[in-house]
Amino acid sequence: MKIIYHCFGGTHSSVTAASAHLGRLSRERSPSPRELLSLPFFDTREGNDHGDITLLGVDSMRNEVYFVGQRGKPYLLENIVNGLAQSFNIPPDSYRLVNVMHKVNISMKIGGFLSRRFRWLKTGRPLVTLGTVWAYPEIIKLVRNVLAEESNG
Amino acid sequence: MKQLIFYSDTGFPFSVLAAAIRTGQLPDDRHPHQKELTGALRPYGMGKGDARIYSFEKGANGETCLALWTDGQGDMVQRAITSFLGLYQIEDYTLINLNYKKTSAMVFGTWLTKLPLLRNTGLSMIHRSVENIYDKLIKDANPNQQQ
Repeated sequence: MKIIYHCFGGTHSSVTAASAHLGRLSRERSPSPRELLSLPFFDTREGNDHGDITLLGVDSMRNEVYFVGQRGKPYLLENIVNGLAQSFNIPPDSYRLVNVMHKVNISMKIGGFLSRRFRWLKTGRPLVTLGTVWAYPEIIKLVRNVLAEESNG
Repeated sequence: MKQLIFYSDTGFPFSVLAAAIRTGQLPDDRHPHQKELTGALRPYGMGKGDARIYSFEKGANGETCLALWTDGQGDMVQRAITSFLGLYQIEDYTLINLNYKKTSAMVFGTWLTKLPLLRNTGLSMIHRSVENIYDKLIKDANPNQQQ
């Protein structure tokens, strides 16, 4: 199974969710800003990476875990992926799209915008990182659901 | 056989027209009549596009091609297509980006088609706009013949 976490820019909430899924972040407590900033791809992806489905790792159930940015248009990604799967005879149960965008808070939105769009890293990065720490309990709930459904087969 | 994926990101289903030409639903030796054009577009609508993928089949050799369109986000959509197919090591496809502009006559014509009394006027405006680019569409619909 290929599990694809997606969010607006594919660099904050989806990377966090995918990292938590892979056990690179604790599922029991919120991570520190330093832990988040040390994650590969966290607050580093650019606009010209959007749409590029990137592998982050393989989980203990041998699921491949990916993340991608969809510029706030999840239906585009869903239509493309589901349409291609149908046209190229890809089994629909071989992949799963997980939208993390609705777990994003205002601090992540503003911070992410400042950091990624305007490159105001000094202001944007701490704001988006702190926002991610605050949003983590919600993100981890989603990840736990995905993991539970996957382990139930 | 390589599958062709026609794609346009200018908010008009140019990709549907190219796929229809490719699969013989629209002529490739002359310009289409308004009725033919309307018939080719009707099943898919003339909305701005949401990346839904439509499949077209060619009778003779069983070739299929796909068409999708969006309003902007072309770079992201192309990356999503290539990276998703890449996950499954699928390489037997060619992505053809149709870079035609949606003219103001098309915008206005599309809008008029929503008004029952002015529907024909709208379709006529769209037909005239499509006629202007139809020769180029025929070439794009048959990429192998260009090489």
